Amino acid sequence: MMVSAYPALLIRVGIPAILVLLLGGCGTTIDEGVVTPGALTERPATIRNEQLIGKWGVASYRDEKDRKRVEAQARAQCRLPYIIAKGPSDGVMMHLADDAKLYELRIKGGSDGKTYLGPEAPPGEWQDREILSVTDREMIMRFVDPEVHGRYGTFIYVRCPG
Amino acid sequence: MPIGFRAFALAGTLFAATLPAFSGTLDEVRKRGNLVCGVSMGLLGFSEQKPDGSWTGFDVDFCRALAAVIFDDPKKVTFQPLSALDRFDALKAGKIDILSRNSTWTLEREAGLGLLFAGVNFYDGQGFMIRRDNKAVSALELNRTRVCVQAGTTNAQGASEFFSTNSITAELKTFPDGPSTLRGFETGECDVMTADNSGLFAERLRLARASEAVILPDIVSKEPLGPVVRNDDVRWYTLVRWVNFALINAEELGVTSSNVTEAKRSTKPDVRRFVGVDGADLGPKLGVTADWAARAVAAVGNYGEIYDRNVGSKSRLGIPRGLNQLWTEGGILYAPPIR
Amino acid sequence: MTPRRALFCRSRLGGLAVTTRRGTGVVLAGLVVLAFSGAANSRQQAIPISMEIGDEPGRVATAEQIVEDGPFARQFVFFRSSEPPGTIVIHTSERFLYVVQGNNRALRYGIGVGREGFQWSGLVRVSRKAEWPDWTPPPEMIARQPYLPRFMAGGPGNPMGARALYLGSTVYRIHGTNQPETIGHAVSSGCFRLANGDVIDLFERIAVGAKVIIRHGASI
Repeated sequence: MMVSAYPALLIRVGIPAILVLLLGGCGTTIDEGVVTPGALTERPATIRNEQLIGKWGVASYRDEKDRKRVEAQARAQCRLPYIIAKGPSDGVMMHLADDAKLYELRIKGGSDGKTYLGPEAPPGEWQDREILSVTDREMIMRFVDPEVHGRYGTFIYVRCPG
Repeated sequence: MPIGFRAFALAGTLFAATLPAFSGTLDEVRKRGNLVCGVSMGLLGFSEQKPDGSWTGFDVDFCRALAAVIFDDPKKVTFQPLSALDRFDALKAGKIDILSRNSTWTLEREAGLGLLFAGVNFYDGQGFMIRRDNKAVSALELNRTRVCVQAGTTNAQGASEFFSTNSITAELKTFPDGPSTLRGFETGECDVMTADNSGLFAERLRLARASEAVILPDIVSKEPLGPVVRNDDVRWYTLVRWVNFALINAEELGVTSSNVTEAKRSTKPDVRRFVGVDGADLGPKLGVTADWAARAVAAVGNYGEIYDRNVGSKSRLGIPRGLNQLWTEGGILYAPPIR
Repeated sequence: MTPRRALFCRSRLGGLAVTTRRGTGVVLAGLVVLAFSGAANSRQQAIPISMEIGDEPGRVATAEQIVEDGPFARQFVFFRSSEPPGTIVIHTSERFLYVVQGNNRALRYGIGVGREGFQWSGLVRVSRKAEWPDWTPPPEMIARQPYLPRFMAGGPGNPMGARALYLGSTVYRIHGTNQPETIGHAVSSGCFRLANGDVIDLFERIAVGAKVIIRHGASI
């Protein structure tokens, strides 16, 4: 009867947590395919690749109250910058969530008026980021997938000097 | 003890009957080629027989340690399951070499039955189980509760003494056996169930929702359990006693089943003596080899490993170390030094 | 070219069931490294928290998670100690953290501890307490997981969990985790991790200045 391995742990999770999990990305799973929330069509993007290319200090936050301080932290992270380079075709080289490989991602304007960044697929696809704002010195993005967004929060990129 | 009777019971000891004092259990075990170890007839965590016939458990491991010391082979043990009624007679009659079956060390059993307890390897005692929604953290907070207890056990008496000593008003409800006592607790007929602590942890596993029951840290009675031998063979008694001490000392020294070989290269004098690199004459004084203690640990691990694996944090029972923790770590386990 | 959706979902649910392929991987890869992060190590307050937990850094765990059953569930136990009530005693080899209550008892929590073995033992004091602490992944982790933000503000989903108790002037701390299934195992290399609900419970009981005694089993 006795087991040599550690006994399994029973973990009590509050009902809100279960709801969060159910409401997460899994609820809309489509096998191998693409989730197209709102079935957006693509429009010309107002943001150009050149605005993304370069070295960035990156930090993330979940609560608006942390934004100022996280912005300062992002700037301090330029000693370990995130580098965005031009891709071989018409995109930029960046990572997707939870994947250490670089992919060429494309800026896509959505029919909802938002700008997305992601692999070749209609805008707003589940692996996309939504670009919330871009200036000369800072850009803000978040993942479209609510589950991924929940884990990573909103990203602030602060352009590193030089 | 009637020597002739035992010799009669065990043909192999006939020659011993002619000696003025029997003193050859170790020789007899060696000659026979295995140790005969009395255990309980199946007690979760302490002695359990698997479908393939093999035995596991805390009490089982003690005999395996002893076999490892004698034969350098923990498998050279024959386990003899014994009921509470038969256990001491079987030992006295020489049907077993050692009784490793949760038996409480009392004066009556030593002076009355002619047995010797070779030490304590599990401090049990009466404890209390409550439902999680009862916020009590101490048995002193059990005022105005209904307490389920099995009739005819020392626990009924123990509970009423504890409550009266501590001015606690509690209603004792007795049940004829273990299952009905547990059912009384589970159905809410009682707020509290009392039994020996190790038993409470085993009973809790039988509840539909074990996590809804909490066992309080209080131990209100003394039930020291340990291996028992006959009182006519001091040499054997001494060996068994020191095997118990060795397992406890191993934990205190940090000698484990995984580092016992490496321990032979230790620079610490206590560790070197433990594994027999230094003080190589100590083992032979017990009638065994210099590396006797290392053999035991290599076979079953140190006390902490045995405890955790069978009844502690790596087992289903999950009994906290409590009193059975080393004296340096919050418990009362204290073994004399090997030197 | 894109990761498969189905795998992603399973791995998330692994946080609850611990039986999935990737969920298991997360457990094994759940190395926690605390390190000074260069620029900001001059003051205690300024030491960023660095931690490495594997493939799913920001997995959302809620504050409600506790170890509910089994040996690593929070429980009162017999514990002889001459230390004053409120003292924390951490047994790394046992994977338990005790809060001394006096009267031969302690409140015991299951913890996760360093895989490599936390080498330091002795007495420190709780120097600071923080709710939802920030997280700065160490450079080695960024190298392996370049998609991570270099700094993550505290909050649900932050791998530092719900609360942190900072230990003296060391880089070590007692903190929460969003991987409660790792409690009872050695998967970090220095920090002491409790399930979020348990670390919140601990946080409420412990005052800044409390003694923290860290012990290991004896070594040969």
